[in-house]
Parts: sequence; C-alpha cells; structure tokens
Amino acid sequence: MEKQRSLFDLVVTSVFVGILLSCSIFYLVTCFVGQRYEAADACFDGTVIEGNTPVHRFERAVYQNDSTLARIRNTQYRLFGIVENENVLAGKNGFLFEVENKECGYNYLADYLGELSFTDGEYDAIAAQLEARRAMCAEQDIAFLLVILPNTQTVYSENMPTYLGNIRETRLDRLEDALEQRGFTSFINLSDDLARYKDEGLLYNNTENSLNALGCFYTYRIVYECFADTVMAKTHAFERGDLSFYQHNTTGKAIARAAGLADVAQNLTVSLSNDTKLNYHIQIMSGGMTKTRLLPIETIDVSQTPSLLLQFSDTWERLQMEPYFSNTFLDVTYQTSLVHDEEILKDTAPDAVIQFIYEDELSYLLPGSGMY
Amino acid sequence: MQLTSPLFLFVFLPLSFLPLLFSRARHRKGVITALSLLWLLFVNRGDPAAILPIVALVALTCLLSALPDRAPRVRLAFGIVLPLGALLAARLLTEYAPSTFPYPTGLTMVSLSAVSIAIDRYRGDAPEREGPLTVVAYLLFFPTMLVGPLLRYKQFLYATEHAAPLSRETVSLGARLFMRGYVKRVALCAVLMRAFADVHSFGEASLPPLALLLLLLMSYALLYTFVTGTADMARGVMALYGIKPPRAQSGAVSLLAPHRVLACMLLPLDRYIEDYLTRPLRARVRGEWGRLLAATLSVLVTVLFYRTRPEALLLALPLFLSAWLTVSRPRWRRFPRRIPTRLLLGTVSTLTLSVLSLGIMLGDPLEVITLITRSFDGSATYSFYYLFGAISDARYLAPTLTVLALAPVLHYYPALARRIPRSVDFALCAISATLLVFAFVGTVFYFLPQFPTYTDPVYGTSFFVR
Repeated sequence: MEKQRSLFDLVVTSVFVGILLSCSIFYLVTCFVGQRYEAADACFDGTVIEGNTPVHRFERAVYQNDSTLARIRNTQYRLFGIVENENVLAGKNGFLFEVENKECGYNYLADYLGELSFTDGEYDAIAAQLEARRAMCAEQDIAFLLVILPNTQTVYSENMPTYLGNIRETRLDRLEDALEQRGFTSFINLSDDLARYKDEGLLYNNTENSLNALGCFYTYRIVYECFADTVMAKTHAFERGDLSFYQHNTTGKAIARAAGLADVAQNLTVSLSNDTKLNYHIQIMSGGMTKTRLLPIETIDVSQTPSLLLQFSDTWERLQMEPYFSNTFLDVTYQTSLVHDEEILKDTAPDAVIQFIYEDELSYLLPGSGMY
Repeated sequence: MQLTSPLFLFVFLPLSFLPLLFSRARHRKGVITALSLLWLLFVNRGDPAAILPIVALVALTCLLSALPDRAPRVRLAFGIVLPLGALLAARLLTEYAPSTFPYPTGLTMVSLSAVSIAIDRYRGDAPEREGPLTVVAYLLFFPTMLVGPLLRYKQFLYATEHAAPLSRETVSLGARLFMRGYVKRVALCAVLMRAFADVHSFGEASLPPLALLLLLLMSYALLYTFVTGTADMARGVMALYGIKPPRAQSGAVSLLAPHRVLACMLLPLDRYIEDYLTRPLRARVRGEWGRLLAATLSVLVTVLFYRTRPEALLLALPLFLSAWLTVSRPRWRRFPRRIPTRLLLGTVSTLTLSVLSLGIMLGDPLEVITLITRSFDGSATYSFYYLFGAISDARYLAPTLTVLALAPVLHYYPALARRIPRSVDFALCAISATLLVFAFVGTVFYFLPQFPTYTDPVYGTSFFVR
C-alpha cells in the first residue's frame, strides 16, 4: 500500500509539474516569439489588454489569443449550441438569429415577442407616403407594388429557441392591418406565401437574414402571380421544374461572422445551378442602376413583354433576383435604392415599379428616414 | 495577481520552487518572506501607493513586537485596537465611498493576523522576542492574504518550524489541493458568477419567483465555491512550500447548523473567533448569558467579516435565531437522526443562508428585499423558461449545480471511508485525482481564457476581495 501511495504521489507530482511547465513554456514562447497578428481584437469578454510590457504581452498570449478564443467559441457552439455574443441567438437546426440591427434601429427579438409597433401617427405617415408614391407612378401610367420580404425568424419561427415560445403579432402584421385600414393595398406581405413553400427546400440562409436563390425564386413566382392574366400571357416565366438548385455548405455568413463562428456555423447555401440558361444581356451598369434586356425567345414576342423597374435596398437581393426577372420581362431596371428618381423613371419607362423591402427595414418607409 | 492569475500559475509558482528547492529548511521562512514581498509588490504594480496601508500596519506590528514587556496590557490593547480600527475604517470607506478609497489588497488578513500576534504574545502562546522577519513572514504570507485560510500566529510558527522538506508527498498533496481550488474558483465560481450577473440583470425589471430562487441558490453556491476554492488553492500553495495546511472544516457544508456555515467556509474563521473572542467572553460572563452573548458576537463578527454593512445583519437575523436556539435549547445542538428531517432542515438552512449570501453579493444588501417583493407582485413579463434559456451559461449550470449537489456526498465520505477497505479507498482516491487532473487541464485551457477580468483584477474590478 505504501508503494502504491508513493507511486500515486509521484504520478500526481509529475503530471502537475508537467502541466505547469508545458503551459509556461507555451505561453512564454507565444508571448515573446509569436507574431503580433495572433492577438485577437479583444478578450473573450470584450475587454482589451493594452500595453507592451512583458506582463501585458504574457496576459495577451493567454486571454487575447485568436486561436484560443476561436477554439473556445467553436467548442461552445459544437457541444452546447451556445453563441457567446449578446447580439446573436443560436436557434435550432443550425440557424443563427440576430438580436438587434443597429443600422436600421430594429430589434428582432422584441419584434418576435410582439413588443414592436409603429404609432398611429407613423402608420398614417407610411400610408400617406406609399399612396403618394403609387399616385406618382399612376400619373405616368405605371403600376406600383411594394413587396415586403419577411425576416428569417418570421418564416422559420420554429427554429427560434424554444424558450421564446411562438412568434407573436409582429410589426409587419400590424403594419399590414394598418395599411389595409387606411385603404392602401398595393403591397404584398410574403410571410404566409413563402411559408407555404418551405417544404420545397430551404428558402433562407441559416446564418444571415436573407433569402437564398430558392427563396428568391419563389419570391419571383409570387410576384409574378400578382400580375394580371393579360400580362402573364405575354411572358414566359420560369417554373420550378425549369430550374435546378443545389445545396452546399459554405462558411457562415454575416451573423456567424459577427459571432466569430464563420468556420463552425456553416451556411446551408442554396444556389442556382451554373448551367441555367440566361437569356438576357446587361445593357447598362452604372452607379446604383443596372438595366437588362431580354433576348428573343421562340415562343413569344418579347417586344410585347412588360418592362419593370425593380427597387432594392441592397445589392445582394438584386443579384439573386436578376436571373429570374431578367429572363422573363423585356427591360428590367434594377435600382439599388428605394428613393424615387424621376429621371430613372423617365429613362426606363417601366410598366410597373416593384419595390422590395425587408421586414427589418420597414422603418425606411417613415418620412424623413432618408431611405425612401 | 490572484492565485488564479495565469501569471501566478505559469510564472510565479514554478519559479518560486527554485529557491525553495535549493534552500535549507531553516531558511524557508526567509525565502517565503521574500516571495511574499515580491508577490505584494507585483499585485500593487498598477498602484504602488496602495501598498502603504499594509506597510504601515506591518511596521506598527513590528514596532509593538519590539517594545519591552513593561505594560503587556497596553501593548495588547494597541495591538488589537489599532489594526481593527484601521480595518473597520477601511471597510466602511470602501462600502460607502468606494470611488474615493480603493481597498488595499490583503488588508483584512493582515489586520486579523496583527491582532493574532498581539493576543498570542500576551497569552504566552508565542515567543516574546521573535525577530521582525518572523512577524513580516507571518503578516505577508501571500497564499493566505486574499481570502485565507486565517492562520493564527502560533499556528504559523509551529508550521514553519516543522516545515517538511519538499517531497513527493507534500507536492502531491499541494498539487491536488491547488487543482481542486482552481477548478472551484475558475470553472465553477466564474461560470456561476457570469450566470448570476445575467439573471440579476433581468431583475432590473422583475424576476419570476423561480428565477429568484435560482438567484438565491446561485449566490450561495457562488459564495461557497469562491471562498472554499480560494482556501483550497492557498492550502495547496502552503503544502507545495512544505508548510502543513490547516484542515478543511467538515462543517463547511453542514447546513444543519446554519449559523456556523459562513465561519466554517472561511477556514478557520470559526476557530479564530472561538479562540480570541467567544471563549474569553464565556470565561468572564458565565452561564447562559455568557453563551448567548458569545454566540451573538460570533455571528455578528462573521457576518461583518463578509460584509461590513449594518443591512447585512438584518438579513442574518435567522442565523442569530439559529445560534440562540442552539445555545438555549440543548435539543437543537443534536443533529436530527431521521433523513427527511435532515433534508428539511438542510433546505430551510440553504434558503436562509442564500438570502444572506445574495445580500453579500449585491451592492446594496437590502436590494434582496426589493427583489423578493418584486418577484411576488406579478409584474414579471416573461416566463422563467425564457430567463433560464437566455442565460448563456445555462448549459453549464446544470452540471455545475450537479457537482455542488454532490458536496453532501463528499461531506459524508470520511465516515464512509472508515467502513471500506483501504484498497478501495485508495482506488477511489486515484480515480478522483485522475478526474481532478482532467478538470484542471480543462479549466486552464477552456475556462481560464474566458475570464480575464475575474482571474486577474488588474483589468477589471475585483470580486469579493476584501
């Protein structure tokens, strides 16, 4: 028993001293020999170790080491599904959700919980602004449609953390009711429509609040079905069977990058197949405007197809929607701005103006936002 | 540079072995003194002026020790009043005007140690003319400067005079104690602290009752892991240096005597109070009144030790009641035999202590009462489920609380160990040591980098460092 005890003490002593010495050598070498770029921007809790004394460098090697912090975040996410970022929620099935978008002053979580709403005055202002925009277009015999793209959390609310419960009445739901009450109906809320197509495949990026290629395709189909039969008769629209999509894993997108999990929380990206025939060419690409023209098609007289002006707040959606709309309509002008531009309207002479706005950008519709 | 700091763990501690390995046993005290001075200077490198109160107190104690014994009572009075007066003034200033007075690191332990020197000298338990080196070595003994163990002067003298040479046994014991304390402090306490801060921040609005219960239990677990974890690390360092550490109090987790738990956590505060306060008091005030007074003072000093605010005493009223009952009703001194009664008593004690521990944690102890009243007024706007899930470390809490729930098992293990064969006991010891090593490695590589403002207060505010 004494021999066993002695051996036990020897093992414990050796292991303890070994751990201490190994860590000492590792951190001292990292501190004094490691490259400066190995230091992360901040420690795990957001504090920053500044100073260049040997003590500061040693502390940085322990607390502000990029590879160490990445390893911890990755382990937390893989094992526990925890995201150590107060602006990111880890949902189910690999979904990450943002808590707040400071750029547009929108709180996703508050909206999910039903705590976000416009005031009555704001509803009036939005309705008036939209009606004015519709009227401006109508004066020039141009149809107008506002397409509201829901957030990922609205369509995929079942992937939000369980402890949040079901999605409540959102700001978009309230806005929809308010606009209808005020007589403005030239808009479409895609929440329910897109939800119908969830079984067809993943419609959104799971690490970013944006539609993927398949989601954009169904957006295009839903918008297309808003056109009158007479318009549809003059166009040849894509059907689902005409296109092939493929799903592949890519590095995490914006939300994953913000949480430092770009390498771990992979994005299930759905892309349009590269062999999709693009039957249009780009006529103009300058500043925030791109114009495409449909090439002749055997089955229809393309000169009879309508022209569109599509307005987006972001380039990404424009790029994703372009293969669908440009392959369907004669002249399609893409404007990366929701601001009314009389010159563009006169130059492009569209038959319809369609504005695409995300649910989290609805505050852009308020007068004075500078975005509308 | 706390004992949890990587600078201490990976630089100071390994380097401190070198002089100890090559020095003789009779030089051990000098080496430890030098290490303690170096440690103190390093801790205060950001604010060297903070060391002045400690230096003043040490100088005063050395001066009093050097004075001839013509007026032993006068020397005793100065030796008690001056350090305690300085301590009380510093603690009150820190409580009520924290921005004007940064609390000197280690002032509490140095003050209490100075009192111990004065009393042990007066009683003749310590040699009259020990050199200033011994006094400085005792006062500035760095492993115990932060949160104990609270060594009495005579204990320190005995331990250093009988210091064992560095051997496998001492290093093994020290290593296991240190690793255990480190895991408690960093893996358990730090995680609990982060979760506690998250839950408490929700309390700005209101807390559901279950969330309040979680906060209470977490505060108690937090206090326990912080105090006992630091004590284990300090004991580990002492053992590594060949100095026999004080034994842990088995009553630390005994919730059946709640008025003793806090004192037993910070070992051996209960013995310190018993030796220097309550026993002399009972000798002078005989009978039940003496015992009642001694019990009251014991609880009072313990609570004020943790938090020098009168409001904390309000929260400790149940502890006073428990102490009085134990004194005046002999039946209460006997632990109940039936397990359901023990469980019930343990639950009540836990909740009672949790209220006090929550008050110790919060800026204003009376905020506890505000939290309790708000949680029962129905103003919580979200369910407990939301709160629990919103705590980013919720998935750590379950294993943490499970481990803490095993504490009663560990408490009863010594009694169990007497009934099992030595070979089985040794096997269990080996298994627990293996798990401990893995836990320590995991703590160093996974938890330590997550808490820079906790493990090294240079970069943030200290947590419960008095």
